[in-house]
Amino acid sequence: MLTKITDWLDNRTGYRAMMAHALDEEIVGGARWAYVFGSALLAIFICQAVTGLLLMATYVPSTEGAWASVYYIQHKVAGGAMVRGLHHYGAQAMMIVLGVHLMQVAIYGAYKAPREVTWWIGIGLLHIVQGLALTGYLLPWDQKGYWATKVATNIAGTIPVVGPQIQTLIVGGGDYGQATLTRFYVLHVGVLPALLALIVVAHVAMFRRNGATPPAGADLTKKDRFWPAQMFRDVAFSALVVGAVALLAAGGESHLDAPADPSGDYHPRPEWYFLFLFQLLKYLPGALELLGTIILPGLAVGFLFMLPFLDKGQSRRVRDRLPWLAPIFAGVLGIVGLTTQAFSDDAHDPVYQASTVRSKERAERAIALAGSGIPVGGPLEMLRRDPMTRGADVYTQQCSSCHILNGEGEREAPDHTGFGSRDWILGVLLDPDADHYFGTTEISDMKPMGKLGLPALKAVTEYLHSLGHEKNDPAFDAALAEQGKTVFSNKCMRCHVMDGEGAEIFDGPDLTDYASRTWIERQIKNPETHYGELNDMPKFEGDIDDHDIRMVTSYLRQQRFAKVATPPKLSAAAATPAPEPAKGEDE
Amino acid sequence: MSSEPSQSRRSFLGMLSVAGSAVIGLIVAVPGASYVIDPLLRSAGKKGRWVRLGDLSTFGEDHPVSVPVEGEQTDAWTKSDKVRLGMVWIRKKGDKIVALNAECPHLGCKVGYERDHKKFACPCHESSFSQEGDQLGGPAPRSLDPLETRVVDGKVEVRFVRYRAQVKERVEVG
Repeated sequence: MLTKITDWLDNRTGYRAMMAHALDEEIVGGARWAYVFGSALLAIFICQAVTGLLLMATYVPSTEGAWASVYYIQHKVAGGAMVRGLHHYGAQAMMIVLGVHLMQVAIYGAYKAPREVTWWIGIGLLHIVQGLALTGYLLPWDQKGYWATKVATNIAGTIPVVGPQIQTLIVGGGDYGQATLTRFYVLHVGVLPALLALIVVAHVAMFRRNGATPPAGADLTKKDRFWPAQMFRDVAFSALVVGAVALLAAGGESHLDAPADPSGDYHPRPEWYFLFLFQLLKYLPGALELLGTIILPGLAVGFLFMLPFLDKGQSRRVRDRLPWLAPIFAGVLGIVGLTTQAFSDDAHDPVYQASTVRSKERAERAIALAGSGIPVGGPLEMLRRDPMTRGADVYTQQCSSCHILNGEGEREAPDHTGFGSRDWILGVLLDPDADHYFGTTEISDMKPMGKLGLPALKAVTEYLHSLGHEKNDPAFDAALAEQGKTVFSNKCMRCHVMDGEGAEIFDGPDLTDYASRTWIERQIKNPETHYGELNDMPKFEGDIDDHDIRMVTSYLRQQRFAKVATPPKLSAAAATPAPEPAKGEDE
Repeated sequence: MSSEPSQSRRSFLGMLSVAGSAVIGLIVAVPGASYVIDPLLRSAGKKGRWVRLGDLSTFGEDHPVSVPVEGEQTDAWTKSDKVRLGMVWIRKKGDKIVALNAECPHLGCKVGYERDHKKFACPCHESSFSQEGDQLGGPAPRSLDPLETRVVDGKVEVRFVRYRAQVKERVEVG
């Protein structure tokens, strides 16, 4: 039955002859492992095409949708992380196998007549694959892709004469943005793959016409057919490469950086296979830069292109061709050396390392937030609405020139680490003039309160801490806070204001709603409302918009749950708890 | 002089080639298939929600009024606070409220209201329904879908649900 069907099919299509033509190709000199790289590239390319199409079913090429849809693929779609991982690592495998393929062909002298055209087409393919890598890198619209590609398009702009025009065309205008993304998208999923497929067909056709190039001195009487001797080798190696890609995809970390942020601080690096060019630019200042961006790469490609004309000797022995192979070997050594140096530079650069840590934190935060949905405005809008991100940014820009938080900033005003927590408040009561409290400010009239004794101080602490309490916070000790309120009225309100009362003898800080959201907001907008003429801090009302003030307030309020940088000196409290103080005693 | 391997070696290598190709295929096909069928693996998500429509006094007894339903929605990765989810027809009937989902249970077109005939008519395949939503004619498999209503602070609220089209029973889909 089956034979009947296949006979019918063969009668109508002639597929058996086609298969035979494809599979029975004679390989002069015998099947070899050295010939496997081209087929492996084809196998990876097919995998890239399939995974690429799958990704296109979800991906959105817009500045709002790109990161969000890639996040969705990576973290929500079943099998999405694997599909994307295969595509990501497949691209890198392609770069490596491409390099090895080129070296094999060069070493075997396969660029020589009559295979010059195959060689040239191969060089063309190399550039298309590089173009695919470069354009694909931008598509997630994350920090990594955004900045690396921005650098690359600026390099295109340095091409003499036509550079600026080329850059404008690639970027799709003067600004790097939406049009850049859609242009890169079309190049990546349409133009370049179509071109690649066409040229691969030509490359394989040329290859089939002229056959493989056996190494010099091979036994040319030995002949194999493509099926199965060479096919087996090709498939085995391809499976090895694709298998390695799958392992990397399965085990590799989620390689989605934080959403592209034109204003963010970021230390861009290209993907590792372009790192050598990046490193080269470090050594070429000013006018020499063109040497690294255009001239040297141009010369290298030109040399490869001209190689069949330069090396015209009959011999394909490596020994006889050393003068022509030497530049290629030197080039490989240079690439390896520069790449290693680039990695090593970064590994020893604490500034870069710190920036990497920050970027990673930001990426993790963005991914965590995206779990509950991304606003229509996109991931940057999502981060703008997140106090832990936006608040931290505003704090760094506006507050850290005077305040310290988590060890960063300047010590000209109280350390905010743990601000509003029990330890922070107790610390102020025990030693208000410490450098990490008010020691560096004009507010220096308060005496240490140690003599009240630890139990009374802890009660006051609980009371002040409770003023900033919100519904979902961990509970406070209401009874203790009540005791603290009494102590506060007796001992502190001669100087401090609470709910519009107090401060009879001295105009001290207003502690109404202390360290609560409203208190922090008031403090940022107009600190004089709390500290009166003792105040030294600038008013930020109008300078920071209301949204940002809310963000930084929420951010700072989180410190009430954090640990202080310097624990309170409990030894400064009187050893014996003071008896319940008599009313009206001043402190 | 041929160095062709023996027939058994040939078929062994051939078998390995096919197996190796299958491995490559499966590496892409397995995650690829799960990626493609992902929508089938998901639960339909939150079904039915109470949505506020408008003041009770704005609705009449004689003719229904169509009101857009707006609410929060998570569409793949995008979360919106206020998007159009659908349309309902609202009419007072004594101290009760008749609320009908405007989606035709046939194939999901939005039914219109013919004032002269006091009936609903689907613009696509001519299904028609009474003011109460009962089917009068056409290919629809069931009557218009009634929605639960309540009045809170003088405002009409409706529990907006969408049902699967083309089936007799009402199966909630969102």
